[in-house]
Amino acid sequence: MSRKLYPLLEVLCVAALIAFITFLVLSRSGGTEKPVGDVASPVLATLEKGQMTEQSNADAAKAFGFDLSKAEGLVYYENEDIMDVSELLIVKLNDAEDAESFRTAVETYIANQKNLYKNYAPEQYALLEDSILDVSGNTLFYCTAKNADALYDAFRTAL
Amino acid sequence: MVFSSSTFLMAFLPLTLLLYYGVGVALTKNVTVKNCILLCASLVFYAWGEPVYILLMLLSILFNFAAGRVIDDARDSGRDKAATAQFVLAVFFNLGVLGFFKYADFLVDNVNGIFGAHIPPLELPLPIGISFYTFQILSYIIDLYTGKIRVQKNLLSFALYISLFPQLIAGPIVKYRDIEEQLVGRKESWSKYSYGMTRFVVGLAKKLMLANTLGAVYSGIQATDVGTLSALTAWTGIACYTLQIYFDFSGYSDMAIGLGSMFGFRFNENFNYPYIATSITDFWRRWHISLSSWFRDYVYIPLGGNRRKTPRVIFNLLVVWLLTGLWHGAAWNFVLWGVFYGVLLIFEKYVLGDRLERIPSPVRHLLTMLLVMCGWVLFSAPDLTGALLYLKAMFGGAAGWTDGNGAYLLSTNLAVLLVGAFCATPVYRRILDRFDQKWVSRAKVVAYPLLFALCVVFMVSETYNPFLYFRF
Repeated sequence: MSRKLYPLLEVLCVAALIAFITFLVLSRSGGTEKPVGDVASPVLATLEKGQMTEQSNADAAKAFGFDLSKAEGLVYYENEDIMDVSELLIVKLNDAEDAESFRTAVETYIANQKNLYKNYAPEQYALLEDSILDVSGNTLFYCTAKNADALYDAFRTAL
Repeated sequence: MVFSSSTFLMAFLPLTLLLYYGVGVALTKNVTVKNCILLCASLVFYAWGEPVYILLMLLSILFNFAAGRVIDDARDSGRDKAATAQFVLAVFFNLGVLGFFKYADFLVDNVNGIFGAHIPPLELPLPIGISFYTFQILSYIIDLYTGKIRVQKNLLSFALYISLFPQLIAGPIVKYRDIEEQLVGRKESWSKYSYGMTRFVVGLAKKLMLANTLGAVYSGIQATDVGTLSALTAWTGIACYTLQIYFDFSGYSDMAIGLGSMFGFRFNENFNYPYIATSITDFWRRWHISLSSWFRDYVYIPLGGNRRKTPRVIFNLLVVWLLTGLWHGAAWNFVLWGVFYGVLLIFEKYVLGDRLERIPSPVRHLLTMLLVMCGWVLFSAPDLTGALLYLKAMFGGAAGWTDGNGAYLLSTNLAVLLVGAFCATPVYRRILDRFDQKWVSRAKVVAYPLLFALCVVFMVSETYNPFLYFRF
């Protein structure tokens, strides 16, 4: 490569870096147009057999205190053993502006769960400590599970 | 990809070795082919866990390769100002990328906290290994600008230096000048390969058998309300963490050095039995040596080192340790952890001075370990408040000095703590040295495969358990 091309390569790298960072930041806040079932499908395929069972929208509303009229759709799975805190929740909202109130509701729920399990079930508490809560535009993802990272990866890919 | 995973051990490593030795060494004997194989393997290794951020690493490689060429060109043609401008640009680029991905949200949190602003955090995941490979790149750029090395004109060699998978994501931080010749002139040998294998197995055992076992105890204690911890429980927990972080990180370094050796490289040591240190100064000569020497060479000495007047040396030390703390994480507990060591080192240097040597060695060792363990509280806590509450518990300020839970935890984990403490010292090496080395070698032939088999048993029975230093 000619010596004169190296400064050009630097400029191209900086431009590509700026584009890359812009893409990353925008994709973090972008959300999706897909129905919630399409987003949830690969995530559910990542669930281990018998890990969690499907719950109704009303169960989710009761557990998290959601106003269901603000949600376009949701998927809620949990382990029905009371000593197991594993849960998976994906909510697609009608309006991305409601995402913060849904996030706060889930954060409050996690804090309550931690208080419940803190002193007598350290392993479950550790799972709650590592739980993943993420809002991407109009879609909220929450998961407490030993394979939460893998489920989250599937969610990010599905968006 | 994690070294202690079945994907790495059963698929990635055997395939890479097969290609490297089959095609690179036996068939072509060509260093370019060998480097190509290693580079491709390294990119796959990184992309396995970071499919998006591999682009960031590739951009860093291209930019810094070009920057190196421009600096060299400017200096060769006597344009010193242009060389300096390029150097500043390259440093700014690298620190800017690191700062953006690692510290942007820390800055946002603090701005929001201080000014009551509501700037939304970026919440971007940290690109794995970015702190390590950025420091490697900076060592190249700084050494090139100061004329200590020649420019690397081969993009393949440069890309391999940055991305070489054994030390890519958690060190040791390899300075370019230490590996420059090996990139094109290394020789593989059976002795290097067998040494690498045994070193790798030792590291794997440290991680899977000791670090993870001790880590499970500390995680359990961390999950308990800190207000209910007796001093005995808190000390048991931090003793477990003290050994966990050593075996976790030194285990990774052993594996990295071992893997490097299997491919004909020689990386500098990163640990030298830090827990036998008899002072904090001594501890930092033995712990994460590659990071300490990086800060010494590229920050402390350029600031004037210890050749200045005392106030300036104190300032230099505080800057270095503030940066060391920040390097480890974007949180105030890491900053405090760094400053804690800076203050201790200044105290040893200027207050204790020669008097330190007059204190009996066992007392010095005990005091050093107590301070190091207090330091690990700052390091391991989720935040500053958590750290201070844990320290309070360690001194009986939460739930008294002892309780049944603490006694139970200590008694049930005493064996692993003692094994860990023993393995953290060079005593076993000294014992082995007393035997006939011929028999020791024969015993190792049996011991290492057994140790590896045990590691596999531990590996298949465990869930995903990444290395602690991955988050830096």
